[in-house]
Amino acid sequence: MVADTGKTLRTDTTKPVNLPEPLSVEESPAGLPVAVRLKQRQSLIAIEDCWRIDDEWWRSEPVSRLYYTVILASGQRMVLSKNLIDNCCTVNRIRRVLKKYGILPPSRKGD
Amino acid sequence: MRILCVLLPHFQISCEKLKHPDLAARPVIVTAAVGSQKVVMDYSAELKGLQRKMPLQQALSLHSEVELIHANIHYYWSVFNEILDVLDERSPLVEGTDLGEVYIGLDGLQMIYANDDILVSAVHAAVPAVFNAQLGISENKFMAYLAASHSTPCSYKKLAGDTTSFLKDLNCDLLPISLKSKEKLHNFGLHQLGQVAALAPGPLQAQFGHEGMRIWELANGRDDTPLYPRLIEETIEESTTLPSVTALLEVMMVAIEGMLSHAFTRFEPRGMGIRSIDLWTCSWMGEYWEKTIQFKEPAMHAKTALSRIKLIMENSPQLGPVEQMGMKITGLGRPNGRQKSLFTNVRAKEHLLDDVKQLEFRLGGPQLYRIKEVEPWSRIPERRYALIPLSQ
Repeated sequence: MVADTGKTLRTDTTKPVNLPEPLSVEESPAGLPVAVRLKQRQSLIAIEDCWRIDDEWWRSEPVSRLYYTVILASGQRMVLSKNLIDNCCTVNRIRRVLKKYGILPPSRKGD
Repeated sequence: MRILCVLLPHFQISCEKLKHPDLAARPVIVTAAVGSQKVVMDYSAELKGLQRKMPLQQALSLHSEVELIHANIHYYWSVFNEILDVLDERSPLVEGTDLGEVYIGLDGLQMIYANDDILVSAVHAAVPAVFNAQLGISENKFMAYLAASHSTPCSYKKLAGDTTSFLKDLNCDLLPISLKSKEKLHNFGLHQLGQVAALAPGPLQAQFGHEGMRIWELANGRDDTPLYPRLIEETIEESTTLPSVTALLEVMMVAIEGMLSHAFTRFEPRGMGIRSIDLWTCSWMGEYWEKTIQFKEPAMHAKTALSRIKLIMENSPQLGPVEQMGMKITGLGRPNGRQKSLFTNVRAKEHLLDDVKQLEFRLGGPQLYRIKEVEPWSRIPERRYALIPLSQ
């Protein structure tokens, strides 16, 4: 028998990590990203990879995203995602922090 | 204070000619990038009508058949610093904040040099003849600059007493003000310093703001700008040529890490760290990028310095694929003092949890969290981890 810790169980105290944050992205007429606005505008010099995720279609808020691995003019590699439902572009910024503290496993698609 | 100005006209062009002697017979413009715009940094003496910081397009409309060279600022400064090092042996008060312009404080030098002629010949001997140094002596920096710009190479001009007649016919372009203000002066029909000096300072201030007063004072031969002698500070320079041209930050960071590790071996044993780094890159097209990175506390290890440099580099677009990189460590310092606990790690976790609980009680809810894996296999990044209150 496990002893009662006396704590109230609360599910509302758990918070998601690495929520996609909105990002201003300029797109070409073909719909491909050409520049992003971080602290300043940075053009993209290459799109290295592109993949699509369609998931949770049975829920009220389905996930339908197009991911791009891009190289910025500063040489930084970044994974952008475009929400295909509302056409907003986002970025998962916490990834770098998680990697820094060894919490994230090696990189894979969707990071 | 008496000041000697050593003017090295078209310094960048002279540096380029030293490097490429075949340029001597051709008209050349040295260009630099200011933001997204290209401007004239220097030009051959025979190209008339050009000015420094003039947009390149404007310069090319005046002289279309010229050779364009991207400024190699790192190289110019290394040549200029060599000249300043030699001049430091002539006087302890040497200022060299702009390429090709040196100001030397003369107060007290009469104990070493009996008269100005001896001093001037000592300075001329210190500067290589290829730079055609022009020297001028006066009571302030601006007047010394004007005297130097009106002297002939290998001699000097001295300005003292009433200089009104000397100043009145000089062109306003000689004023050390922005190009925009110079254009504005010409638009008002003020082409000579005498015309500006004849005005009352009020109207100039009304049109040019704070700079208006400075323009009026300069036109009257007054300049309160103090001399800023350069500080002799230990600097460490490292540079490398990348094995292949790259635009990837990861490759650049590897090169920076190598240079930092090498640099650290030179001062780490002395217990010193980095306070400031000038980082530069040169693209394969010869475009030069530079950034000064300051550290709040001296970085005592290469890893500490590297994380800050990476952050800066990520937000600094390069001008093109990078071929050469380098750094100049301009500030070395010792670490700040820290109070350490006498008994480390004794019930540290229990104390921390107690503090967390107190904090939650006081602020009414979880304040500190830990990251926990929830669905690490999920294809959706935000589903993989969650924040759980530390006290749970």
